[in-house]
Amino acid sequence: MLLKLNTISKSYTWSAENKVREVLIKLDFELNSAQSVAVIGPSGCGKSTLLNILGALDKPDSGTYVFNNEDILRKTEPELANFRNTKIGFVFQQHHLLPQLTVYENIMLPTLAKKNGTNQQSLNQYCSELMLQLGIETLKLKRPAQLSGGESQRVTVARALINKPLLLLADEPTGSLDEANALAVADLLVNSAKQFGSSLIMVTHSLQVASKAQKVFRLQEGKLIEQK
Amino acid sequence: MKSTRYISASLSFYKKQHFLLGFAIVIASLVITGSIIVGDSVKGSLQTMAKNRLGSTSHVFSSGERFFTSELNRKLSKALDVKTADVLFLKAFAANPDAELRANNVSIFVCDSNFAGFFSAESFRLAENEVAINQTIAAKLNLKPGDEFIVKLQKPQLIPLNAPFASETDRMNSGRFTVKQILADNQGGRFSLRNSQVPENSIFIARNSSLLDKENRDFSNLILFETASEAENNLYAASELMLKITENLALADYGLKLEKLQNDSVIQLSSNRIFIDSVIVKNLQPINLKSISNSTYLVNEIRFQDKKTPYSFVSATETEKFGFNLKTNEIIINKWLATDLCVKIGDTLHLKYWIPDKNEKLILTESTFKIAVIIAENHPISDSDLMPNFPGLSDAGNCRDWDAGVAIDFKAIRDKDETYWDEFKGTPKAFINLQSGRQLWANKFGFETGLRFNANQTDSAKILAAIKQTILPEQLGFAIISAKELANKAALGSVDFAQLFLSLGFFIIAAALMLIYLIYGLNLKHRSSEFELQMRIGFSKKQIFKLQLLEIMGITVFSALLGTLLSIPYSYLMVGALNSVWYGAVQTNALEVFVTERALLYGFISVLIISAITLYYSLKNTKLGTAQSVVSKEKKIKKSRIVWQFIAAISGITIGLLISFYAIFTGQTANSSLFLSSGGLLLISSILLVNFYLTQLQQKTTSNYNSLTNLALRNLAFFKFRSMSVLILFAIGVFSLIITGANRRTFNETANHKPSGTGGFEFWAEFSVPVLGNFNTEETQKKYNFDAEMQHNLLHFEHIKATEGDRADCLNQNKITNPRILGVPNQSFFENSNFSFASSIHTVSKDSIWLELNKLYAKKTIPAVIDQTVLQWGIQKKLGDTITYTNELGETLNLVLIAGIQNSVFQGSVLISESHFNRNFPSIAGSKIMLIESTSDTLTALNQNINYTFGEYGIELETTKQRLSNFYAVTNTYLNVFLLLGFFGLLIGTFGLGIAIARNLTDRTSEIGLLQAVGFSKKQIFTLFFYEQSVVLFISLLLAIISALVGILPSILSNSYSFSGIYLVLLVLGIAVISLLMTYISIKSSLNKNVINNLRVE
Repeated sequence: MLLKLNTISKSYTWSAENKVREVLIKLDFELNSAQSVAVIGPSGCGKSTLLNILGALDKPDSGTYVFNNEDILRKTEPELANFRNTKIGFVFQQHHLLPQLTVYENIMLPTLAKKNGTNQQSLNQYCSELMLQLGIETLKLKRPAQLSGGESQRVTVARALINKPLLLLADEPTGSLDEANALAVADLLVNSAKQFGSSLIMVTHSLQVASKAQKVFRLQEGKLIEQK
Repeated sequence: MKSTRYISASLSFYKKQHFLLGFAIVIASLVITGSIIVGDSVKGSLQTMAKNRLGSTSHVFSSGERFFTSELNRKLSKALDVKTADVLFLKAFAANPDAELRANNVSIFVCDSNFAGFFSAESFRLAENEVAINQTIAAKLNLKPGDEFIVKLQKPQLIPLNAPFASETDRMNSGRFTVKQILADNQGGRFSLRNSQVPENSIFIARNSSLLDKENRDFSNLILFETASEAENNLYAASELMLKITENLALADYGLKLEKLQNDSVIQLSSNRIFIDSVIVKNLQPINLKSISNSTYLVNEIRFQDKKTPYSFVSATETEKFGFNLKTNEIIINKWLATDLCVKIGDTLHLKYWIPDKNEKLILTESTFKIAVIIAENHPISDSDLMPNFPGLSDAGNCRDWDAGVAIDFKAIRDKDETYWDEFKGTPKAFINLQSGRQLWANKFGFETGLRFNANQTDSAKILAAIKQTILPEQLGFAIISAKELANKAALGSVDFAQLFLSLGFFIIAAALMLIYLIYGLNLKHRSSEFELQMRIGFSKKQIFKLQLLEIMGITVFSALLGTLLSIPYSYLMVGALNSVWYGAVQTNALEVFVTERALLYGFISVLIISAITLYYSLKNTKLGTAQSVVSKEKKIKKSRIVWQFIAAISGITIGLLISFYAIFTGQTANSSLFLSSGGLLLISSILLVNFYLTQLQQKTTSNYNSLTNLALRNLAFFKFRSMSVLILFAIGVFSLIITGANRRTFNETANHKPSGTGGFEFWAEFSVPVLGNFNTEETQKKYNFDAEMQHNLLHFEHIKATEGDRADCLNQNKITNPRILGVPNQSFFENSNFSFASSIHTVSKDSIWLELNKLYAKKTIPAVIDQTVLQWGIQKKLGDTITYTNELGETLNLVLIAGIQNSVFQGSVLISESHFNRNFPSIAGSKIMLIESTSDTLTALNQNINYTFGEYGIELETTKQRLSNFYAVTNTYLNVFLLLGFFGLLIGTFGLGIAIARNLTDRTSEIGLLQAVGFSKKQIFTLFFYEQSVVLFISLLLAIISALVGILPSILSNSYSFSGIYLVLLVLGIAVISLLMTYISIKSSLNKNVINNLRVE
């Protein structure tokens, strides 16, 4: 088992209305290594909150989160940063490629955060391998502004995989794409995760995209319910 | 929805951003409008001071070194039917012994109720032991009404003190006086003919004052006229006034006297100045009045072999008119003399007498004559009236009571000489012909002591008419001064403080404009998606542009208006500072704030225009409606342009360094211009090099980067405009502040060498009552009671004469076109290599400028030199230009400026040779200024001693160092203002930096989120952004410091400047710390925000 969420709860307070809204209620979830999972649900149901908790960008109000036998919620901020850097890979709907960097530099960005020295040569080699696998090897010195949407998404995937994460988190990766392209991106994510040995949790609205994952969960009333 | 609703909604929603934009506009408006108000205030205050100084006076008649009687004023008042007042202006010194305070340079105005009528003053009636004083002297001597103090003044001198036989003793009157009234500025307290904002030490006395001898109480040397109405309609022009004055001048006003002699058969014209002015004699010659000229002179000794007759008068006259055809070496003597010397016709007599040399020093000279005729004492050629009115001689009861202006050996006077005096008074004992006499004792004051007319052929009225007809008053030094017009011109032409404060506040304005540009640019960028949306829903670019313009127009107008209003208290602050802590720059504490509609309007419009231009460019450069300015940043810059940038940068640095090396290796380490050019070039070139580096980095598409530093640099390059704006502002700001700070001039021992601005002299002594004689002689030193210490320590004196006039130094805010003239000992300056020259006309070598001053270029056209600072800033002339004066003889005197003296004690005056001075201003007697060389180890004690010795001559003694330091104080004060305002400018720039960083980070929230998501710790992100921002700051500081250090090398190497290392460290540290603090706060607050959500929705 790669990770386990146990009775995770998270609520938000709207200060204007002074109302509390519970988005995750005693949520339990387990994920095995190299497993791909899709999470679906209506807007505002808490999918992104769940993803942020999984990616250690946010903390639940209560519950436990064990990743690879480590209690994530007990980690300090620098430990969490290191955890995100080494164990997690993020893919966003908006790509968030830095315009000042080339494609290669964008992909390599997470390696800069590594505190322990990494062999630059092997990193370069791995980066080239990733680009080749994702079909963007010719874009190495291009700037984000010169890329198409699909190309940008591939660069995002490569960036997410550069540190060989155990878990790939994709937040609405196909939200702005048409059906055909959305399915292609979903395939890319699932296949990439599979190819590079990562697990995948993909948040999406689309049932078709979700169907590409091994398991599909619906987030409903603060809990994850597996869709058979 | 109407566009107004859209605009108001946007204004409301982006209120924080608009507030910041408004703040920047307010700052710009504050400084710009404030500077204009400060300029108006200085000009307005100077005009007010001029008005207070002159009251309703429009013109002033001045008789120069001469005096006229009050009768002239009475006649003029009646003839012109305008308000007039005659004033006797004298110089004095005053002391309050109780408070041990003294005022040396005091002006005494002898006046009556007519004078008060020119000011908002009630007529003051003063008893003979009462005085009215102005506030300046009241403060200086700590006096209030009812207090007593001592006044000592120089009596009116009818005979110029430098004229032969003028008595040097009994020149002063003194007494203890009670302060009746302290006159306010508008009550005439500021009255002065000097165009200066610095009030004089003035005392006002009535004509019956015990300070004046009875015979002098009717004398005046000034008449004030009110010939202009409030509507400025001049009733009389200056020339018309002079005509009226000429019509009403009496003979006495010319200093002349007519008396009938020899049973009314002869009318004699004589002068109360001993010698009749040459111009009068010369001009009367063409008028056929048939006169006999004579000149009677005091001869110390007439000797034949071993026999001597002391102190006799010898007359040069037209002997042929008495039937004696004398040769030039022949003499007629009377029987008394022949008997006394036991001589006969044909014997040779030796005459010994004093004549002044070109430096007015009396030289004992001897001439020999052969006796041609011996006449009786009562011969028609001879009478006692031939002896002119020698004060101290004519009125003496006997010879031993003589008080002549020359040394008399009373032991030589015998009883028979007394008997001759008793019997014949000053009847000449000998006669020579007129030509011989002229060769012997004609001097610059004239030659003839009397003109005799045949009373049967003419009368007094005809003679007076002839004089009026032929003599122009200007030829006697009389002048009409258009005082009001000159004062207004001087005030209006004064230093433009508006321009000055705009320059001094340059960095504040620059920082504010940078803020406007940055804030608005960032605002626009922040709203780029809004503009993109507008484009997509059908707005044209023009429409988007228009909407934006309308949105910011309100902010701009409101902010400019607010800034304009706030500029009023800002002006009060600045003017208040000028009156107090920045007193050194203006030398007055009487500046008032003048807020005019014009200033507010000009300021408001100027701010609107420059804000609009700045906003327009910001708007234009943002490329509204395009998909982010990222696209534009992707634009490739031509490679050749980058190469040229590099070449220019490297060339600039190389040339800059070469200039410095050249200056060092050619020994020109004091040449500040070279090093400043070098430093400036280094700064600009290194900024260009940084720009080149960032451009290259921006264009670079490398696949090799491996550190946060590298990433930070890429970010800097990507946001190049922002980075370079901050860099340029800080680099130029810090560079300017260091350069300015290092230019604070000071004084040091090495600067006291002869070629320096002090000329190698220790003291500059200026007298209100000129001192006579050559102080390098023991005789004069004894006369002035020099004690042993002074005789021992005061090594050398240089005597300088000066005309009355305005000083055009940097301490005078008024624009002076004709500064006072100094007659300097140029020969001595040349021989001793005193002072040096900053510039000269190409035809004259700098080594021979002092000698060049002796030349006469053309009739009444002579060379002159002036302090370089005054040349450049004071009178705003260039070398080769001519300044026109009127000399004492009423002739136009052209001074050709041939050289600028290197920063010297002569600031404020124009210098000519003493020989030219004596020729053009013959009546100006004695030394007004002395430069004193001394042993330098007992200056303080000497200072007290000299002050005591010359106290009654109204000495203003200062060390030459102090004098130069006072001039430096003005520059240094301006530098202080610049440093302060510049520092504020940089503070605002720092504030702008904070805003730029904050806005930058806001724009890059998603980037921060991404960095967090991919595993950057907050510390790493902080480091990345802090490095990115601080590196700009450090590069700018580094470039500024290195370039500035090169620029101020002369200041570092020379002791003439007070360069403070602490100042440099504090300045740099202050800016660095404040900037880093702003950076720290901005980044920390950005990182503390929840940025994760931005990863989902942009």
